[in-house]
Amino acid sequence: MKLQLKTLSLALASSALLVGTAWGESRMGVQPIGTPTNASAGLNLAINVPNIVMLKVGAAGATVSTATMNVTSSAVSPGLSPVYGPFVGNNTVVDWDGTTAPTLTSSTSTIPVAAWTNTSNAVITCTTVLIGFAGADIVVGTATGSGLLLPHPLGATNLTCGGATAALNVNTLYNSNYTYTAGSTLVGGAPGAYTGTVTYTITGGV
Amino acid sequence: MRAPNLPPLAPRLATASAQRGWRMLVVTFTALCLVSEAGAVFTAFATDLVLPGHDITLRVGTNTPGAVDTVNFGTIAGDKVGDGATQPTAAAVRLDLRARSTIATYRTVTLTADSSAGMACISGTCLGPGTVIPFSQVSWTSNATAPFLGNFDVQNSSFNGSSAQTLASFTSGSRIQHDLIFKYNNTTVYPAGSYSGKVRFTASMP
Repeated sequence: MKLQLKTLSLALASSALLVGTAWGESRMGVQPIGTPTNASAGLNLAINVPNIVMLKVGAAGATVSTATMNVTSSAVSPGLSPVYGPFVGNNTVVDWDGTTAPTLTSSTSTIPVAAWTNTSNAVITCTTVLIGFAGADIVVGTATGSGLLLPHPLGATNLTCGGATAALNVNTLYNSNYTYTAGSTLVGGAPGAYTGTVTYTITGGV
Repeated sequence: MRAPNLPPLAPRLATASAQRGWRMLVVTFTALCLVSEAGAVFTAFATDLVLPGHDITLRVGTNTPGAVDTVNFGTIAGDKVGDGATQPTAAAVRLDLRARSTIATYRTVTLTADSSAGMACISGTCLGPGTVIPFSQVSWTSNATAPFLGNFDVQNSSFNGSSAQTLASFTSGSRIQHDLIFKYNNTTVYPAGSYSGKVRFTASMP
């Protein structure tokens, strides 16, 4: 009985030692009475924040917005004011003296755009699928919105999409507008309905 | 919070070996119970009449000898960054603090945290601006949330970014054990990258 008791005590004591011998950062302070005593231990904390790029062209959501540009004409009679036009419909009476060709004008479509990133070297590029016209036939402008002006990919003034923008600032909201107008080549070309798609891509963290 | 476990003062005049064996068994078993209780938070123990001074033992973390443990919150999902609702947590961290003094000189033990350093960027975009996430973004829940007999052990709270934030205060002759579950509050979108920082816990008594 006595031997069993000692054995059990030894086992329990050993278990206690095993539990108590290995710690994380474990410190001890011992001082005589009257001397302040302390011990300190550290703990590391770590977190990863992923690369985020955000881009909005047009209305929010999954629907692809459309920038519609209409070409209209006006006839000008020198000396008359106001200038008449645009003309819509058949057999409309106009004051045209026949000495000046009508002027064809494209309307401008304004599309809201926004971008944001928390990565370095984030840029915007674009690609186009255009039917019956070229990227250079669309004049692109940038207009101020509620935030910083978002540059348009190169060429910055049309849809040739020849290169990327400069790197966007980190954690900075860009919120502005792109404007689209049919250029003179397209406006003066053959009548018809022209369509195409431009796809903008933001890439960062590379 | 549970009621304290108060082991009896060990008689010091016992001479018979059998009595010593039984006593050792009882004391050892009691110690094992204390160590094995993950939820034990506040334990009073017998104060040594002949202790020559004070001593404090502090452990923060798991059973890894000589290493500072790391609370890793991992990577936040890209669409959850900064939403404030998604708060990554990490495995529980054991904080074990024991302070002894002579029975005639009970002292007030104070546990403080130095979280002034914050979590600094160690790789990624955040290196550019040198972003530091303040530790005020980190809070914790404790397995003890009520004071015991006027002594406050570690309550649910957040780091405040100071160099000496008081986390607990109690009378020597006690031991507190906590399992702290840290969480990242995720209320701000920071530049992409990996962040890490160290909090140093210090226990002291005058």
